[in-house]
Amino acid sequence: MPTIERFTDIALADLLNVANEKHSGGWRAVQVLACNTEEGIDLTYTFNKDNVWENYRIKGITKQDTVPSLQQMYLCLFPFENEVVDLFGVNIAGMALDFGGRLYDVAVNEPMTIISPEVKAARDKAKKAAQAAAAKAAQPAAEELPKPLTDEEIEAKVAAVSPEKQDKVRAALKAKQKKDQEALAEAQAKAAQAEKPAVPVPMTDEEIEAKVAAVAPEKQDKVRAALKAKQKKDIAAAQAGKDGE
Amino acid sequence: MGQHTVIPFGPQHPVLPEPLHLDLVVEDEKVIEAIPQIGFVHRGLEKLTETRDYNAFIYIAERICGICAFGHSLGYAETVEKLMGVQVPERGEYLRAIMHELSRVHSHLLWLGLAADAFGYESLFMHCWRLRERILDLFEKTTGGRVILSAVVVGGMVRDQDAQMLRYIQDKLEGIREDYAQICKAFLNDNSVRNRLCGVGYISPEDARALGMVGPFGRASNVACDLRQYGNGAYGKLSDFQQILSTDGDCFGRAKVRAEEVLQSIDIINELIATIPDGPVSVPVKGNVPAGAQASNVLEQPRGECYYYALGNGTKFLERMRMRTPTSVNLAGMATALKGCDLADVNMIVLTIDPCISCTER
Repeated sequence: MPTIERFTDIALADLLNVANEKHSGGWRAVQVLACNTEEGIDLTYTFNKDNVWENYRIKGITKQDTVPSLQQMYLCLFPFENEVVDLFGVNIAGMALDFGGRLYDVAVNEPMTIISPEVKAARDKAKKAAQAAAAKAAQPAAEELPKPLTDEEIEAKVAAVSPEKQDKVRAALKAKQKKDQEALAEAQAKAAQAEKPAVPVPMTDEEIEAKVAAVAPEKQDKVRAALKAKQKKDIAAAQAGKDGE
Repeated sequence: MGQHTVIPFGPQHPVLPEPLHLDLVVEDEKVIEAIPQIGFVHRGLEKLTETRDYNAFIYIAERICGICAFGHSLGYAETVEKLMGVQVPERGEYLRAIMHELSRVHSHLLWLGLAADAFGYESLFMHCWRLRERILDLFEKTTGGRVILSAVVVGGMVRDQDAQMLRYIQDKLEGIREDYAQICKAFLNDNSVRNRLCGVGYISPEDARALGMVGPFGRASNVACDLRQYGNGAYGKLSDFQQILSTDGDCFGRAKVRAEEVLQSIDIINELIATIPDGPVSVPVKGNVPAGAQASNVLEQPRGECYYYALGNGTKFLERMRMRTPTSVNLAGMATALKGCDLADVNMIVLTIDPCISCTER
């Protein structure tokens, strides 16, 4: 009888109903976790009974939303609810044990919602790479496309059919030849485009300063100079790319 | 009726092993209410998934706790393996379970020593830690590390252990078992131990269930919460597994459960070594974690159930990694056990949940 983990998405309005149902059914509250997303904070509540762990996710909780506390039913959730308040800034109302945002002594407010410029840039880059890879995978490669028939091959095929059908067959084969030639040209153009080195996006002055701030003070001048030089080079490359188009 | 006084207890206190603060509301010598507070050692380890890829993060995961280091790396690896749809080779699963049980023996021996020290039995404390050293020697012999083992990778184990080494582990454990039998006898039968622990910090089975208590803390109140019973990984290959429960519900019950679990773990290791199959111990795991893919996992750590959650974002970095440790869910039970106790028993009751605040705050 191995453990079973399940995931279900629910609305915020359904949270108390789900918790009541679980509580009266003899389920145990396991934890609450939060996840920072572009749409807001996703909260996941986990309940356990026997070998089943049920995860209920509420998506996109904003600053305007108020989440009801489950501590009246499950006191053991107090560290997790207070943690979600401290680290993610979620409004939770009615906590039996409320530390008022002082459970953790953190240097900045809501630290888990802060995404550094470096991490954001890396995520954007990875997202673009994944999209490009998916687009490439969706497109058939030039070598996978059917080879267009030559005029000689068409005439050979036409000669093999009865004389009254020759004009019709020739027209059909010519149309297919044209279609295959167009598809091949398009695939070759796309392949050539993909092989071209991508034009780098020049960094903004703010991005440069953010990167500089992340290094040791004695290295900041050197790093700034290097990044400025790269910025200049990228601007020139971007300009050249535009001119080429 | 006496006057109520609030005594701040911890986070720095000679009898507390961990940075935990308690506001103890006392009436004369009786504790009326205990309000726990943590938050002194939060390290933000979960946020490091932003800068460590899923293979590198395992070295962060095992640094969550110095005692459950192996367990955390195992729980994390299993979660990512679920996320990536990876099946670990059978021999790798056996080795993981063997090392995990060795960790349980070392953790319980450490706790038994601390408990003996707390109730003033110094020689028992020293004997427990002397035996624990032998387990740490086994870790060093098999992995090269005594605390941080770095023995688990996503996909299996870092290295195999040959038959000679497995035989060596069995021989060492037999020696430990003989010595441990004497210690166990003192814990379970000695009058001075019983006088100090029996009836202290009682929690009924109903309260334990309502408070969601896990691990030996819950099992001492007769809550059948040992996750090994579900047979995940190599635990499913054991011929029989009966979790150790107690109906005592007090500090003595918690010591008894842990003391007996040491012997149970030695039996499990012996059975796994006797039946371990041949084959590879790991499979390579490469590629990005699918965007939006999520997985959760539970593992019976020495202190109880640990819950792990991971969410992918289409890159080699996880969008979110979450570890919910046993202590964090046992804090409510601890506060309940403290109600009505003598002030002099507070440290003993706090200790019997085997708190790990570093784990809890991560």
